[in-house]
Amino acid sequence: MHSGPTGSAVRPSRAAVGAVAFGRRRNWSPTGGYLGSLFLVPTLVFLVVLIAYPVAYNFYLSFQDYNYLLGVSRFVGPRHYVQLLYDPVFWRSLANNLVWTIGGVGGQLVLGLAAALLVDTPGRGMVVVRTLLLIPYVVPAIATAITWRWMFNDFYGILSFVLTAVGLLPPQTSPFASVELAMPAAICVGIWRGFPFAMIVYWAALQTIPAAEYEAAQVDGAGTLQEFWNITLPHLGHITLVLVVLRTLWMFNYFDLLYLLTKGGPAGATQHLPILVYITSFGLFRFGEAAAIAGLMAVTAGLIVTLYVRIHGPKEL
Amino acid sequence: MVRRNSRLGLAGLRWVGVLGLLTFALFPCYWMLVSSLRPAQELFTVPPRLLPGTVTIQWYEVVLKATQMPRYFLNSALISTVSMIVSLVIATLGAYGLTRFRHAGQRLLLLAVLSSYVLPPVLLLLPLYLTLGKLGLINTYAGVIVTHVTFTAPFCLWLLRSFFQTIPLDLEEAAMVDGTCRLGAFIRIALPLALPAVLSTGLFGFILSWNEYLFASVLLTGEARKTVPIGIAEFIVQFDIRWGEVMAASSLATIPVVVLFAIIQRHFVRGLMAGAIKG
Repeated sequence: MHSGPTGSAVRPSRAAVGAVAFGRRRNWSPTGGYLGSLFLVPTLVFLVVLIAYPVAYNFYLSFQDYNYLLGVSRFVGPRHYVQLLYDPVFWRSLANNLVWTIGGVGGQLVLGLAAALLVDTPGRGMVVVRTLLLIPYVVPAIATAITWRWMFNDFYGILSFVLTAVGLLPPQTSPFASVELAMPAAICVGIWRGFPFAMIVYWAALQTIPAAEYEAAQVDGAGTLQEFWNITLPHLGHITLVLVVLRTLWMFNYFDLLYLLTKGGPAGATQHLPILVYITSFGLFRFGEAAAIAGLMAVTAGLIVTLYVRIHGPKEL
Repeated sequence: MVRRNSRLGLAGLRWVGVLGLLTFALFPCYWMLVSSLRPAQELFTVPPRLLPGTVTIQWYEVVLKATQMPRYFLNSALISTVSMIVSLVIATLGAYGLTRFRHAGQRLLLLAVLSSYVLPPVLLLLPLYLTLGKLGLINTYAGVIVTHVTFTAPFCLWLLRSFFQTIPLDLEEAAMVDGTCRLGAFIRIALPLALPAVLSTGLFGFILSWNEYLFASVLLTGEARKTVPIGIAEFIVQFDIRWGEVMAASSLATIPVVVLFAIIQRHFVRGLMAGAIKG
């Protein structure tokens, strides 16, 4: 599949082999001439104006001491970055961010794979099931957060009631009010929201495994579990890598859900880097420091993307 | 015979698993809806009642008549629609250009698109806020739309690229042999073929914009232009959360996107499959 349509543009089609068509074939030249570039003008404008410029501006800001209220800006060099290294709040937020990301991505992938295997049978019923299972992925973050907060409400929450009944939660408390339980509860919500994506990607990958391999295994008398270990899992290795990278970047950078669930509380127990940037900028108006934190996040994301492209191979993105 | 029994057992296990998954995925939605339709005395009971009892629409009446929510819905619809259209223009042309031509720096461009797709939104927050401030676009529709396009356009571009890769070139080639120009081949052949995919991708972009909180919360400070997520979040800011109203507003915000998604999910899944199969 690596050649793709871009590759087939070079391959002469039956229709175009005739001498009459030869002149027109030149329009299909892989470079595409100026017209081919015209298609990319909006994309280029977008990338320069709405991505490259803000990113550059953010790094500029991170080297400034910017007083938003006075509108005064002063160059301070890498001071904000150095200060961050000595700031326990930054390190705690980074640690929280890692817990949130690793817990969330791990849960989403495991549950996503289990779900994909479960719904991977033919039949109209399963089409409906797959669609229903995708719903959490599109419920607005605000509705998700508020509903889970209601279910975990200290007095009337149905999940708090159940957790209290089985002895996991003291009576009349909410996990979101507990320093120990707030992050695990938030990660559960993160898994709820993200597992459908992993499920559908895994399910799509399952469809590409040749049925002949399973048939051959059955002839050899392999059991379901053996089929899973020897055929299914090896085929999912590549897509797992793609999923890990995409979901890691997504969870690491995701602001809306965690902020709306906990606002970073209680006592900073769920404050991750995006929330720290938000509070530092629009709570404390220390724009330079906030830009430095965001800059470090961007460098991290950039490293992950680079690593991904390296592993994924240089042939195509 | 033994083998047959084990297969049957597996089928049974499968359905137990599926039911468990469905409960996990759908219970919060069910609970949101049920809570929004309950009178206060049934909403605030210990232990909570699993099944719906008395049905009332009183919370919906409060939300729709006594708050600014209807206005916020119009704002959200407008912002999401324009964000969708702008992203589709960028993404359709860009995806076509990237799949049908080879350019100098093609790889670099793809890398830039991928990077913009996975960028931390908080990275753009301050620069966009300050720049939009200088342009006088704080608290305007245009300002929020610009920020929403920063994530809807890369999303649409990435998904549409895999769609265009699945459309064979032969039809466009044949049309061009028949005398259609390059642009004509795009408009008359490729675009109609890709239209369902383009629309579905656009509608998913609409959903992303509809759900967004971060940029809207910073940029929209005045009553007149707030979006639905901002409006609902304000119910929480108050010390005493008004659960009935909040559940009703959340249900109202969720129902349109779930209906939209039910319509387009087939194409969304196919797009992911095209992307997933590649490589």
